[in-house]
This record gives sequence, structure tokens and C-alpha cells, in this order.
Amino acid sequence: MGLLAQQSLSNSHKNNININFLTSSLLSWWLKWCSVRNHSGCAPTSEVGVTPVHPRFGLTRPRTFPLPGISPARDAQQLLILNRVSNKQSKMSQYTIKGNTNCLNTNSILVQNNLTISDDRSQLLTWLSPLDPGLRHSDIQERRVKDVGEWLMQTEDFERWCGLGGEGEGDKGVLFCYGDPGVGKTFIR
Amino acid sequence: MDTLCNRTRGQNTPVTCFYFDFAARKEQSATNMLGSSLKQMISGTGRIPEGIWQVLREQKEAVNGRRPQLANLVKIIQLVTSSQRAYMCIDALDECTTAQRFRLFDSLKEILGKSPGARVFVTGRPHIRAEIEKHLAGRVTSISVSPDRDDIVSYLRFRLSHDETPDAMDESLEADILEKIPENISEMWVEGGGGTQNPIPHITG
Repeated sequence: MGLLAQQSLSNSHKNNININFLTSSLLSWWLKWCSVRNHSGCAPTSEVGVTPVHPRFGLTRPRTFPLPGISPARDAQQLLILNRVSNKQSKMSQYTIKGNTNCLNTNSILVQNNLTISDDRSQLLTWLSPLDPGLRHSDIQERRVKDVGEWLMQTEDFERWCGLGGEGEGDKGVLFCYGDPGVGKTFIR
Repeated sequence: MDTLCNRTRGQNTPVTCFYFDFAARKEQSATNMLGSSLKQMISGTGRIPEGIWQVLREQKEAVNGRRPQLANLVKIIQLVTSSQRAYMCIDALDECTTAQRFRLFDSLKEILGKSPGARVFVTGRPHIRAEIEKHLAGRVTSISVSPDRDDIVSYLRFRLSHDETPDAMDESLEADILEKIPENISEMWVEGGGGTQNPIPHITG
């Protein structure tokens, strides 16, 4: 993704912009919009050529994809919206738009791509696990009495296991603290 | 966990936590647990290489957005922890179902085998001691946790400071409480061989 952002920036002077994750819903929206425009006798005022790029190999196939007749000044905002929409149905995950983008603000593209990176990574983290033990940990932090279990941190076993000084490599990696219910295992600081 | 966080502050060392809960045992599978740990490792450190993100993207695509597979999570955790120290804290492992616990043991064994920097802190009731020492043979140090007198006194002081009827308390009664209760609790633990009662309300293991 970082590479894409760099490519996008470096290509901006060539009037090329990468758009990731263009959705079919957006296509539907555009077709509907365009249809309304045509029925009202107003053709789109500008067209932008779009070249889909294979997500893995970077192969390009020429294809024309007219965007609604929006002024170049609005392109950046429009692209920002396009870029944040995920594409579940289309197998094409990346597009290159060629057109008159002289009015595009480079800073907007940078923000746009950072947002995409953030969204992409956020989605990956959510995918990893739906559980959030942080809430339980916060609850324990609030209820815990200061220094409870401090004795454990001072044992040789704990220090050896912790091995922060680079020592202990290859030693036992698991420290198992066992005790009956109520002894305070969960609240060890 | 907070001790580990404090000790490793500034070193970008991942420290993760997971609390097993009997009431949530259906969703707390080994896969979800390790997925959660990996999530914390990645989000808690700023040094995750782009390659790791790429692996995650490919794995997600490979399963068509379905939940991650345990074997793949193990491999990614191995990748993340192979070259750095990482701490995983797991509380109340005995509250995980037996089947999932065994899956977790196998996974931890694989992770520890390839990542010498990985450290796992586990708490649980005594009956799983033999189990964990058998499945992770040679990798476990066991410590018995019992109420320490200082811990009990600290806790009593805390509760007394939050007394809802402070007018009913005087110095003499407070001194008696701080003296007698720790003694009685110690006796109870000796007599009961550990017992099953909760000697200290609101401190549950």
C-alpha cells in the first residue's frame, strides 16, 4: 500500500492517479446517475479514461471508464471518496485514472492514501479476532489494589523468565502461576 | 502485564493479554485467542514491517474473508516474534474448554519452538498444572500463587478506605481487622489446603 501511495504521488504529474477498491455499488450509482443525466438531456461534461491494473502483476488493460461530469477541482474530493470504498464483488482492486487532473491537490492525495492505508490495516486487525480483551484489562486495572502480587515480580523465576537483559534465550518460555480461586492470580500486576 | 509494559517501555516490545472466561468459552477458541494476541502485537508496536501486512492481506484473501485459520496465525506470530522479544499473558487458562486448550498448547509449542524470544505468562487453577507441564514439556516454570500477608493487608486498607459507614469505624477496630483477618485467612488456607472459598471478596483468581 505504501508503494501504491508513492506510485500515485510520483505519477501525479503524468495525470495518473491510482484508485483502490472501486465498488460495484459505485458503478451502479454512476450508471443510475448517468441515466438520469441522459434522460434529462445533459451529457457528462467530461470523461476520464480508466485503466484497470492487475492487483499482483501490475498488468494494464486499456478500458474507458467515464466519470460523471465533475470539474477537475472536485476530482480530488471525489477520488477520496472512491478510494475509501471497499470492493467486494469486483475482482479488480486497483484502477489507474488518466485524465485532466492538473487541479488535483497533492496533499489531498497523500491524505487520501494515508486514510486508505489506515482503513486497510484496521480491517485486517478486525479480521484477526473479534475479541477485545482490552476492556477486561481496563476493568481489572481499575479494581486492582496497588502492588498486589509484587512479590512475584521479585522472584528469580520471574526475572529469569522475563530475561530483558538479553539473558534467558533458550530458557523456559512459559511461566505458569497456579493457585485456587480467589488468590488473586488475575490481579497480579 | 502492566509490569511487563513498564519494564519494556521504549523498547517497542509487544505485550499482549487475554482473559479466558468460562461464560464466554464458546467464542474463546484457540484461534480467536491467538488472533487477538497477534492483533495486539501488531497494533501495539510501530515496527511491523510491510511484509507482515502483506502476508495478512494474502491470508485474508485466501480464506475469502472468513475467519483466520489457526495454523496460519501460528506462522504469522512466529514471523512477528522470530526476531524480537514478545510477551503473551493468558489468564485463567483452566476456563478454556479442554479441546481448545489442547489446540492452544500445540500452537504455543510451535511458536516457542521457532521463536526463542517469545514469553508466555499463564495463570490457572492447580488442576491444569500437570496438563501444561506435560504438553509443553521442558518449557514451563510453575509458581504457586497464594495470598501474601502484605497483599491481604494492602487489600484490607483499600477496602477500609472505601468504607461506606466510616462513622462505625474507630482506630481500635481498624487495627483489630488488620491484625486478625490476615491471620485467620492464613489459617484458613492451611486448614483448607487451599480451599475453594474466596477469602478476599472482589479478588477472584
